[in-house]
Amino acid sequence: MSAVREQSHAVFQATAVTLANRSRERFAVRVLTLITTLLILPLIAIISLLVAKGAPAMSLEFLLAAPVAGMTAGGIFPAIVGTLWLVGVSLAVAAPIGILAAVYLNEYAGDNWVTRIINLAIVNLAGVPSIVHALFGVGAFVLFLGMGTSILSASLTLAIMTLPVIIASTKEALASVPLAFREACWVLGASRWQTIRHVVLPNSISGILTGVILQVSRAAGETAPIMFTGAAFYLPFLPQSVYDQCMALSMHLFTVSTQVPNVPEAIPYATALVLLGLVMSVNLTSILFRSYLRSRRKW
Amino acid sequence: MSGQRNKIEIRDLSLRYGNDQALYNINLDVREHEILAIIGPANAGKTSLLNCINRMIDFVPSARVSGSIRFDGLEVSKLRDPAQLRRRIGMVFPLPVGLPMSIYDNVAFAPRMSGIRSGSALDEIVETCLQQAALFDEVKDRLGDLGTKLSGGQQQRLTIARALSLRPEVLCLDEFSIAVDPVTTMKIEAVIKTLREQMTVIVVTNLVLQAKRLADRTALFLGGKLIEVDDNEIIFSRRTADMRTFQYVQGLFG
Amino acid sequence: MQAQRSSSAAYAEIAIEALIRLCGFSAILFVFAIFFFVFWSGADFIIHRLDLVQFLGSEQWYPTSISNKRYGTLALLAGTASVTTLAMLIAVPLGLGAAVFISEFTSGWVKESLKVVIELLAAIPSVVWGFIGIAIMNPVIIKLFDAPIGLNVLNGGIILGLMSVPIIVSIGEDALKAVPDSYREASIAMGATRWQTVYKVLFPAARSGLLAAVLLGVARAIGETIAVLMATGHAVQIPHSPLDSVRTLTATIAAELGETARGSDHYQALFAIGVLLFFLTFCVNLIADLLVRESKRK
Repeated sequence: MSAVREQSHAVFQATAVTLANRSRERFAVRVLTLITTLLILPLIAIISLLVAKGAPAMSLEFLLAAPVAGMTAGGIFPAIVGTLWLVGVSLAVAAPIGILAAVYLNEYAGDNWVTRIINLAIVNLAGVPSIVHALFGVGAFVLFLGMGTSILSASLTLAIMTLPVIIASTKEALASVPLAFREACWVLGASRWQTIRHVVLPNSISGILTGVILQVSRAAGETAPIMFTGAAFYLPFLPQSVYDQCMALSMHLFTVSTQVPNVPEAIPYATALVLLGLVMSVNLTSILFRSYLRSRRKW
Repeated sequence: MSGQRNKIEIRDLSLRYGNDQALYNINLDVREHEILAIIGPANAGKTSLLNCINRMIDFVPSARVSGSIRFDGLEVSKLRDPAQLRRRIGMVFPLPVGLPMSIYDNVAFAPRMSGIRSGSALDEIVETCLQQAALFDEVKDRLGDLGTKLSGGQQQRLTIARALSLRPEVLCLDEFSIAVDPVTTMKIEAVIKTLREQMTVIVVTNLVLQAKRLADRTALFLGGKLIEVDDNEIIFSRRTADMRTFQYVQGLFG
Repeated sequence: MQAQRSSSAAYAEIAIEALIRLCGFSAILFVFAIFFFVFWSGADFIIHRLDLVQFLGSEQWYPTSISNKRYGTLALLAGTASVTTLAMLIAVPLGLGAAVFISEFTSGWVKESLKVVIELLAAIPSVVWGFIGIAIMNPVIIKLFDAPIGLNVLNGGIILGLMSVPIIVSIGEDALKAVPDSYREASIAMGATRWQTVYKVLFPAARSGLLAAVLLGVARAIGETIAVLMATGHAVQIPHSPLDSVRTLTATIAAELGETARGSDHYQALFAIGVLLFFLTFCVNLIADLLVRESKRK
């Protein structure tokens, strides 16, 4: 009630529309436009700078050759391969767990304290600093479970870290399927799982895919969680199994820009460009996919 | 005219949603092979009653049911598998809901879920049910089209075909004509009259004249209480037991 | 006519539903596991040899000294606090301003494309931000301020500010969207300008949601690792000006974990910092979550 009174009070003052009010409005809109432009600017600046300075070093050879001469020359092929390994394995772990967890939250969980705790846990999983995830990976996977520093340890760490991304977007996709469809199935004697399996999942699969794509982009860009769990500065060979270590694009960018002296400027720029290009294109795919889906609903 | 055996026996049924009581001590019998109309204004508890009978009320977490409902003598609340019960009670909601799959799959959905796999058996079910719902001729050439793309009236008949796909013993229709044009309404009413040979029908409606046209008996609900239930000759005459029934039927309130 | 579903199908269904429940509860399991393993890896040191007064109150972080080992995190806390504060000075006005602009002053394709821009901004990996700090911001700061080194609080704060903006925008926009349109209509109908509506009606109504947006931005800034490791220099000291180099809690772990012997006090002290970070972000997230819940209840 008091909110209503406050509001009508505010409204009462505002009825005297003065020229000052109008100019204040114009000023405010101008400031807000400026602020928003200030956010677009760095995005454009970063992309164009990376393109301008990285493009000279960019070539097919850069993408397909191994680094040589203490990483001051050559390409980034092993890092690309390593990132694909990490993303693939973490996706294989996070996608099923995340999707089923979202199914639980959207289709089974009641509105009670257990659900509140689960949601709080998910918020925290997303909020725990990435370096703490790394410590967890070291303590749990590398040491306790004896997986050593390996693709497996790093991917599991990444999987747990990116789980909230998949859960959040899958939940949204499931929630967009109208309740009426579920009721229509239940009333026909279909069980909860049959309804989910034959009606809810088929009609939200594309939204779920969008979330999975986002997870890929997150996992590809992370550095801290893989630093001590499986990514190496430099490896002379490509990984053969999930028990090997690997190089990674993000880790490689960190290495060549901070750890190695006398690297030609173009190499870190080109590496950053490849990483950013990968992450951005995956993200854009997800965004375009989403808007395409919104345009063609089955109901 | 109607069989004397009671298909459903409701005794002292009360229902609360949290602190709001929706049904008060309902006692009502539904006879086999009759058409029973349930009339009453909004929030009278008509839909809640249907949800208790097929245990859709299970999906409402705040709902508390007391009393007894017997279906063919079986206590509904004690059934271990309510899905089994729902396969014996067909239900049509007020707003047509075509599932986002083909017309064929809409009708074949429930039989498939109950374990029927044979293609020819499914073909036969789909054709019979669409015919029973007076929809077959309109869609027979495009059974692969999305059910959600049909017109409202067609979707409602599709919903009825779906409800018939498991050969239910009881068919409940909840204000089926609310989102449907008059021509379709008449078509569906004709369908309902033919169905009573094979099953028991409960029609919830807020259209008094529809109850008069269709039903053998009519029950009036007001504010969660059953006011009166009797043969149509009584309900739609001056001889009602309760004044309010006469007034409601005459359109004096509601 | 009634076909029975086979009992194997029924068992399969029980199994899959059990699996779904397990996955649903897994998030709780993981949060506990994270706390347990991080604590457990440093438990021996934390329980037996950690001097809490020194840990939180001393600015002396000398983990590798031979004669005078000190595990004080005050300077690291100050590093985190200074960078986070500067980041918020940038991110809060930018983030909330953009949230208001997108939510209240745009529509149609402009709104959609601005949201895409924010999403893309959020997608830039932190190592790329760190690289920008080193390769672009560093020389710019040296030139502009005539500073000896451009890797400092200012650099890290700007980078971190830009990194925190997207989360503030998206949560803030959600909070504004949650205010019923009737509030806006009533205000506009009475002759208020749109800007008056924003600060007299929408800000009070969306207060807790906007506060949550800021808190989540803070949590993001506290937890960010690689970007601040690269952009803030490596000086363990309490900064006196934005041009001083610092070292944050997160960067310390990232910089030193690889150099320590497994199981040594130094190694375990880094896990102790991990526990501290866990609690810090846990509390901030918890408060933000309560605020979001409150704003939704309204």
